[in-house]
Amino acid sequence: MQEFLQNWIYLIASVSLIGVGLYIVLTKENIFKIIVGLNIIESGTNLFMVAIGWHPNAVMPIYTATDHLVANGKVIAADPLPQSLVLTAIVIGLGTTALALTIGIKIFEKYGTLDVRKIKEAEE
Amino acid sequence: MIIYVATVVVIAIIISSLIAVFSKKLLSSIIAMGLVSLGVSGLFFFLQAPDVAITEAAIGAGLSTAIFVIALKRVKKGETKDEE
Amino acid sequence: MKNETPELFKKIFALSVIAVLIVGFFLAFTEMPKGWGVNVNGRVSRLYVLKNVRTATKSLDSGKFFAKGVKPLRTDVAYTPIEFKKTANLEDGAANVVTSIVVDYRGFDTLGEVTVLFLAVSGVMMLLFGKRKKERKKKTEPSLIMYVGTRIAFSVILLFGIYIFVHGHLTPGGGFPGGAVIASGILGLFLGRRGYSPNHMGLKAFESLSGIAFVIIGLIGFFSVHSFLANFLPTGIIGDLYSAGFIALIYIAVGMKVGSELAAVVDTMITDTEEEWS
Repeated sequence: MQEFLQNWIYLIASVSLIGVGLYIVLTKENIFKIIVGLNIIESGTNLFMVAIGWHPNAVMPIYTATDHLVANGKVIAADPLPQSLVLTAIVIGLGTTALALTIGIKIFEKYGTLDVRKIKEAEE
Repeated sequence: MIIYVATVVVIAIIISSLIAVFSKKLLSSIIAMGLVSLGVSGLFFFLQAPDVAITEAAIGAGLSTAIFVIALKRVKKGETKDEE
Repeated sequence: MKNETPELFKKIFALSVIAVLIVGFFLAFTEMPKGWGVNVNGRVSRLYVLKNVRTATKSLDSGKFFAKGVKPLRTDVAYTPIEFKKTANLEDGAANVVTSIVVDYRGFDTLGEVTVLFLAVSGVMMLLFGKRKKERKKKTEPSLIMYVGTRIAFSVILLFGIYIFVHGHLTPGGGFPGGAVIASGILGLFLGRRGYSPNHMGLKAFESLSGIAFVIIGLIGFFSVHSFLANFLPTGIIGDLYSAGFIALIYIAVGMKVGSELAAVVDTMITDTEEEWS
């Protein structure tokens, strides 16, 4: 049971977050709700990228926090490269979210609604 | 042992994301999104990535939710009119 | 309401797309090695991690331990504590390997990331540009306790943010979370008093100066070590505050830039604007 959880639980979490976010993006009509779905997809992909650099006996890749980053000549720390990728991706995510919300506010000021179908009707 | 705690957190974030899908009010789905970010930052700590955990807790759960709520306040009329 | 897709069909389509996604993920990942098979030793970053500690590990593998009373944290791997020695290469010296990768190994990528954040903030400020409303609608003022409390909390939060990005090469953290913490403190000031407005010229000056400082530090590396964003300072001993060369300088610049940019986003979105042109 423990081995199964160690192998699969983070993958299950990330894939289900991506799936739920995709469901929101595909079926909902409110623009803000679509942006909420995009944020959930972003959380899922970040979790996925960090989880593939991890193994069950990993330690933090920080020398002052752990006593042994290297055992028997082998590195046992978690892979620091996806962590640094995700670290920068989170900050970019906030910037793009703010830009998307701003565009949503501008759309509301022009059309008076946030429903994508009503916006399409108003266009025609 | 810590993997069972992680399992509980995973179940919590999946329930939060389902709340974000099926809630009628936009505000509660935004709060549920913040809860998902908070749980994911806890999972980052279990995955031995404390840097990413700090960043996600400060940005994903804090500032991102705040910016959503501020933007929602500016379109308050649209939220009440366009409920599904 | 013409040509409207039925609700049921839409949901079935979305669920089928998600099912294809999930099945693809799981089929791909049953082929991957799991558990102990996933080892960092087979990856690119192994070389980067090992470079710091190769000499230390050699002496530790021969069986030296710390003091006698110290027990190993775990017994499933051989206990090999690390000795902190003076580092040799210019990319060494940071106790936090993630920081070392973000600033040093992939420093050019961090510069591009800061540029993307700057572009996003510029887009927000351009779209929400407008004149400030002179008179506010009658809204309830926050109480005196809120006003005083947020101001006191802001000083502590500012100090904590500065601590996070100055110690980025020793402890988890760094410029990006430090800047976000400072921006959260400024958000608290907005909540504490109606009509609060930060010094816009100060924010702009902080942002521009820290961006220029980032590029200038990179150019100093270009002219002294013949590579853009190369480390040109002595690296010192792992674990000291004055170690890891220019990582602390770059992270101070990144922290000030991210903090002022996110504060500008919060300021632009929270301020009631009305259309001046459109």
